[in-house]
Amino acid sequence: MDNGMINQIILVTDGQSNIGGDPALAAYEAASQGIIVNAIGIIDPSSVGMQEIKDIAKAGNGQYQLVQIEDLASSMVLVTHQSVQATLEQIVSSQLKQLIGSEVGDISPKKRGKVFEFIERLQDEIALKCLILTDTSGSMSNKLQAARESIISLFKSLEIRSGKNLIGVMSFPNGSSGYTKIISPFTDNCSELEDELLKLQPSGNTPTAPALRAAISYFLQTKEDNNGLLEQFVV
Amino acid sequence: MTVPKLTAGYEVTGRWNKKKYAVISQLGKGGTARVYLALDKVSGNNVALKISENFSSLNREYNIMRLLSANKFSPQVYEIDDCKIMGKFYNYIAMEYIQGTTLKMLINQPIEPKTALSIIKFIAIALGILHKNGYIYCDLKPENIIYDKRKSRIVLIDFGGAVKKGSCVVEYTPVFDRSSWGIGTRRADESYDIFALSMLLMILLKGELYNPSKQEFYKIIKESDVLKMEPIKKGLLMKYSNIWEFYRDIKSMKNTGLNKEYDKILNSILVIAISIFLGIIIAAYKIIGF
Ligand SMILES: Nc1ncnc2c1ncn2[C@@H]1O[C@H](COP(=O)(O)OP(=O)(O)OP(=O)(O)O)[C@@H](O)[C@H]1O
Repeated sequence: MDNGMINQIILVTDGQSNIGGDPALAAYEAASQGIIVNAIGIIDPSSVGMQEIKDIAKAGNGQYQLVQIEDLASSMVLVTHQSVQATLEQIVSSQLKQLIGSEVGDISPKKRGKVFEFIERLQDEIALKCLILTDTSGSMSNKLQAARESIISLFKSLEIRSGKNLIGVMSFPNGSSGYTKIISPFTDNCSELEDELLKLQPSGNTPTAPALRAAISYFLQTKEDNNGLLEQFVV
Repeated sequence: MTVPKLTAGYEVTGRWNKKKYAVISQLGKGGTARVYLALDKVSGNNVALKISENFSSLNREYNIMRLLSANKFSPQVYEIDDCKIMGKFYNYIAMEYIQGTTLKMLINQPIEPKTALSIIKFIAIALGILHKNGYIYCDLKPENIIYDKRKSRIVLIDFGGAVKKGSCVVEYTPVFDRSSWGIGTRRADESYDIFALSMLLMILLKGELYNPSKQEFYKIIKESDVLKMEPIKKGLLMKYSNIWEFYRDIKSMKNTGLNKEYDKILNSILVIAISIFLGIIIAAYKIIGF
């Protein structure tokens, strides 16, 4: 298990995609390649189309939350931990199924404890590669400072784990020149990340689906040598 | 939220222990769970059923609640089991139904220092027991505290956010999270909970919530000075590493309304009551021999 790694995207948006196709389909494509997609919807008085957030997380095998901008940081921390836990539970369960022909649910609640302890330990030790894909269009533009602070806050929370963390940040759209922009490459260095985050700037449309696809190919480009656990066990 | 909404009368049957419950109404819902008031069909008692699709988290919650079960500061837990709803398995715990109001209802006007301090003392004891067992509660907030009028006690619910000491805080609410105020990490330790508890006391006394993205931390420290609440200040500045020190300071606050004499009398009554109780238990033990 030592060289396993969990790959996840956290999509942060306050609107509905309006260009470039269906984001849930793109999230499904990510999940098929072993990348979990979590989605956080920022709600404000003008927000519409939050069903999309749920659909994206469902298709992406991830978690979703609908929150006020003040709660973005706590929500990122929570979805990250929940999705890591859920993913490990799925992996361990399917391994158990292969080994002894039964899933965690087939073991009586009293005897599950050992399995959960194992998952809890893995949760703390497993390497995590997390790409924050943040919307910088329209009404998100006045929430970017909060987004920067939340990303740093997530980083500091994850640092407490004993496993390795790599955090990258991508924004969408990228003005006239394309759908997405890499704000910060994957890094385990907080001050590097802080500097890069200053590049987070407001821009135009909301092409959620193409942005998710760009995030997938960025994952594939930066693939570590080791095989992700997920790629082996979870479809 | 994918735990389905159940209607009144829906029958929940345990997969392993085969217990049956009839749903009465929904008590609340959170990130991954729904809580129902239900009727235990055998005993005829009302229970609270927390139903979740997150098996490991609910399992941990059950184990933590078991640790506290001997005390009255958390709901008694009866069983953990699975149930099938619309073809899919969920995990549930059956626990004591706490009738009362959450502290959230109290936060719209300042409350009496005497009352606030006694609420905080109860919670401190509950947290102290949890700490002794190696866990940190983390997500302390008014929504997770119920005032049980009938039994006049304070009950802590929702142990879903509790983690082992030393690990990373997973669930928090910014105003009660020291890291959101920029003065500490999210590594779970006793002073993390003491910070949250001190903040809660401040909020109860002021009758309004604070907001770390709009307010500055030192202003709250200043307010605690104005209120002459030394333990709040010490708690917020993380001067306590042990919740019993905080508890002792809270207990010795003059504003408790109870003066020292009265406290002494109360204490001796308590000692006598406990001795009588123990006496009865020992006698019962000798007679029945269980
Ligand atoms: N034992 C109980 N007796 C009465 N009401 C309860 C009890 N347990 C929970 N509730 C009610 O249900 C609501 C939700 O419960 P709880 O906070 O445990 O679930 P949750 O928020 O879904 O948990 P989590 O934060 O782990 O997802 C509470 O706010 C409370 O009103």
